[in-house]
Amino acid sequence: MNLARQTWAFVRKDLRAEVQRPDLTVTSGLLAVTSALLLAFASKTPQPSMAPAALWIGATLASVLVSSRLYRAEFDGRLLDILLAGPLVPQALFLAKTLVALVVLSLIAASSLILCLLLFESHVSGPWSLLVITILLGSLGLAELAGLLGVRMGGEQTDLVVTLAMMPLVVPVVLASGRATGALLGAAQTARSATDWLGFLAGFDLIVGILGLWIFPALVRR
Amino acid sequence: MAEECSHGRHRRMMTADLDKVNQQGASLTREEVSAVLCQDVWMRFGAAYALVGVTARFERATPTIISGPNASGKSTLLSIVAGLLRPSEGSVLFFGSQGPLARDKIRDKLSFFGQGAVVYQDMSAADNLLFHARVCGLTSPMAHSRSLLEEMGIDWQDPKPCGQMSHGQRRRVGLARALLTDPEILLLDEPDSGLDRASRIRLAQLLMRKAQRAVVVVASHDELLCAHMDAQVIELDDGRVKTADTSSSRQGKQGTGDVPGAGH
Repeated sequence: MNLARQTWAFVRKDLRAEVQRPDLTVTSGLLAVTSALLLAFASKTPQPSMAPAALWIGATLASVLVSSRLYRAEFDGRLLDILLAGPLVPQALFLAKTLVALVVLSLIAASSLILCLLLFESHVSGPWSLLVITILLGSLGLAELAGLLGVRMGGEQTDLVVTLAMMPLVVPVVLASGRATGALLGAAQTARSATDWLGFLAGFDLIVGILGLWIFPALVRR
Repeated sequence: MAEECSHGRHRRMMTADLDKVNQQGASLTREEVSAVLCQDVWMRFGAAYALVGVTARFERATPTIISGPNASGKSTLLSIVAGLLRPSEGSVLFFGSQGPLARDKIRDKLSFFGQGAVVYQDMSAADNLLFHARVCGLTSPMAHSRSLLEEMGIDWQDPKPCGQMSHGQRRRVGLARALLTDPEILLLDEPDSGLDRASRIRLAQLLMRKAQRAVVVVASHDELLCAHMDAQVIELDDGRVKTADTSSSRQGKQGTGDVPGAGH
C-alpha cells in the first residue's frame, strides 16, 4: 500500500513538473533527433536498414541524459537524505523514476521513429501494435537502467563511472529493440521474427526490474 | 535499533566507558526505553575519524542541542541517528529497541531536517507540504499543512516556487515539512541557518513545545538558540564529546556528572 501510494506521489510530482517545464524531454529528445539526423546525412542515399539503428542509438543516448537528470530534484538541497530518513520505501522511488523515464523515453522513441521513417525512407511492414510494444519494451529496458543507475549520478566521479557501467548494460536492450524494429520495418537481416526479440526484451525487462527492486535500497543509501 | 559494525582493531575505548555502555545495553531502565541512545558511536571516513566513541542520550521533555565548531561531527552524529550513515562502531537504540526491523518501524515516527534547501525548488510551499503528506500517507493534510506554514510565516496561497524564495523562507518551509507528521523523533541540522533573530527565537520556542512530546535533537552553534532553550547541550570537538550539560546547569547549577548525554 505504501509502495503504491508513494510511487504515485513521485510519478505525479515529476510528470507535473515535466509538463510545466519539459526540460528532460526536450534536451534528451534533441539529442536523439540530432543523432538520427547525423546518421541520415552521413549516408549519400537513404538506407532503410539504418532506420532501426538510428532510432535506438538516439534513444540510448537520450536515456543516458535522462539518467543523469532523473534524480536532480532529490539531489538538490539534499532532499534524498530527508526522504530516506523518513517513511519512504526506497523501491517506490525506483519504480516512480522508472515510470517517469519510461514516459519520457517512449515519447522520444515514438517521435524518433517517425523522423527515422522519413529520413531513411523506410516503411512499416509489420503490425503497428507490435511496433508500439517494441517502443514500450525497449524504452522500459532503458528506463529501468536509468532509474537504477541514475541514483548514483551527481558526484564528480560517479557520473563517469555510472555512464561507463550503463553502456554495456544497455547493449541487450539496443540489440533486441533494433532487431525487433528492423523486422517490423522489413529491414532486418535476421531470420528471427520480431516476436522472438520482443520475448527476449520482455524477459530482460523483467529481470532488470526484479534486480532493480532488490538492489536499489542498497544503491540509494550511499 | 542498532546499526552495529565490529572493527575491533579500531576500538580504542577506555575500560570505564565500555563498562558503562555494556551496563546500558544489558538492562534498560525506564528512562532509556523512552529515549534515543547513542552507544559508543565511532565514525571513520577513510583514515579520518569523524566521531570518536560518542555516547549520548536524547530524551523527551528535554531537547538536545549538539554544538561545536565546524567539522566537529555534529552533522555526522545526526546522520547516524537518522539512519543515513552506518556507524563504523557502536549503535543507536530507539526507545530500547534495536535491529534493522525496529529501525524500519521508527522511520514513520522520525523526521530529519538536513542542511541545504530541504524543499523541492520548483514547487510552491503548499505543494511541497502536500507532496510530503502524500508520501507519508497523511489522510487529510490540507488543514495541518496550512496551519504549519502560517505558523512559519509563509503564505499558503503563494504560488511562487520555493527556488524563488529567500534562503530563510525556504528553511521555514522545510521546518514546516519536518513537523508535518508530528514526529516522535525530530532531528534538525542547523535549522537556524538563514533565519533572523526573531525567527530564531520563535524557532527555539517552537522546539521547546515540540520537545514535550518528542525527542528533539538540534545540531547548531547558535548561541541565541542555546540561550532560549532549556536544553541539554552536548558540545562536540573533533568528534569527541567535550562537555555535556543543560541550560539550567549552565545558568547556575554546577557540575555535569549527573547530566544525561555525557560521553567522552
